[in-house]
Amino acid sequence: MKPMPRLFAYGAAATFVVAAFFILVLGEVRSPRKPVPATIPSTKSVVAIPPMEPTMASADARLPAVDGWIAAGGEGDETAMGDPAVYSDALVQELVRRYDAFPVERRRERGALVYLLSRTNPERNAMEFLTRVIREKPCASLENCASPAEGHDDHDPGLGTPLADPQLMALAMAEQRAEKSALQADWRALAEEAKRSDVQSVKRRAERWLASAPQ
Amino acid sequence: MSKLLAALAWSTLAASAFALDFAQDLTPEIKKQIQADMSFVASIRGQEVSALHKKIFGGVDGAGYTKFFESRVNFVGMDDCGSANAVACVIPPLFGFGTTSKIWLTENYVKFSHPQIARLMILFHEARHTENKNRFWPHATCPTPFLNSDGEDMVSLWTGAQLAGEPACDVTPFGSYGSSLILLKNVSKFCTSCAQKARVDAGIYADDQLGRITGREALASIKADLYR
Repeated sequence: MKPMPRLFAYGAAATFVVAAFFILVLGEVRSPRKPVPATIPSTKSVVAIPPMEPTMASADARLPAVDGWIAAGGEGDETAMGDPAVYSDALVQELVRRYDAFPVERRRERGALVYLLSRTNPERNAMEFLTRVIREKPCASLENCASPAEGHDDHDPGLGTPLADPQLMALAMAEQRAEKSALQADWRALAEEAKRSDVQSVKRRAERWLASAPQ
Repeated sequence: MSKLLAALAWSTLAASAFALDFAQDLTPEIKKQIQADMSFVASIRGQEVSALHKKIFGGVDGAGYTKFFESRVNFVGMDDCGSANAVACVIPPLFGFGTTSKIWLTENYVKFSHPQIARLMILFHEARHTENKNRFWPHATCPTPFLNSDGEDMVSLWTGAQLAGEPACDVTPFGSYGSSLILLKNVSKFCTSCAQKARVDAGIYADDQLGRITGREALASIKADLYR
């Protein structure tokens, strides 16, 4: 390297270091971050997948794909999980166990598991699972299903939809499954049960379903 | 050198993919989440569309949604929005004079276990509230009594508080509740690029929003448009 270009290179490096110092250190000092209103204690919403039981399902190659999808909040591509209609009994049992192991406040993950399990076979087992979900106690607040929130914000979009995510998913998937089912009377019984739910949004959805479904 | 320039150009493009300014106090988690949510919005594609949706948003199309949002909102900040349960809000200018293109999110945007579709609904609901020319689409007061089909009081499931007399309804399909319902129901019915779960979620949230539409004509027009 010739002297001048080397000097230029040293100069550029020094300029970069000084600029980085000003940006990283002085910039932070000159514009301190305004504290975020501490209306709610900051808790990180880390999704912990419940540990796996040593069952046959542990050998199922689809389980890691399901875990990844659940950890992503049930969002994104579903193809790697395969068709739930052909899941083995062991895999279905493992997914039910995971559903039960999630805290009830993890509505999104539980709703995603309901979405998968509603499409498994045999149909009657899926129906039983969905009925069980619909019978779950109402969740009292987003923070803690066991106790109501203090204060309220009725402006917030959604009449409690997030609170009843698993139950509403169960009902929506039951509606879809019933469309092509030979077990019409049984699905209708599920809808009738949902209509008696203590959760208003579940009740309303069941009413709409029953009103639109052929007798 | 050309690689460096290309990388610089790419990073500039990536940074400007969403023309939103973020407040300094916005947590990295929320910033990351809103960027991911807007990326999902931008990816939406569909061939069909309902008439009301076409009137408000155009086609079922990510580019159109992004344009709709960014033409109304250019800043996202943090606020408590006046309630521990709030997720987002728009603070209209004093006495309704002037304009705003800012929306405010609370920590609840990422704290609670909501599907992505729920966050999308919240963003577009608030974006509608920035429209000065429409007086910020104020909510309508829910009727008194506000009863469900069983004759029971409609209540907020946040606290069990009755919604009758609360400013928590819409009497037009074009307000914040109505328009976000129309958006989601179209995604549910017509999105061809969405994962099936997202379409089911969109249907669930749209259907539930229907309970907020209390204007008889508004309800009839939404049902004719999307629930036949």
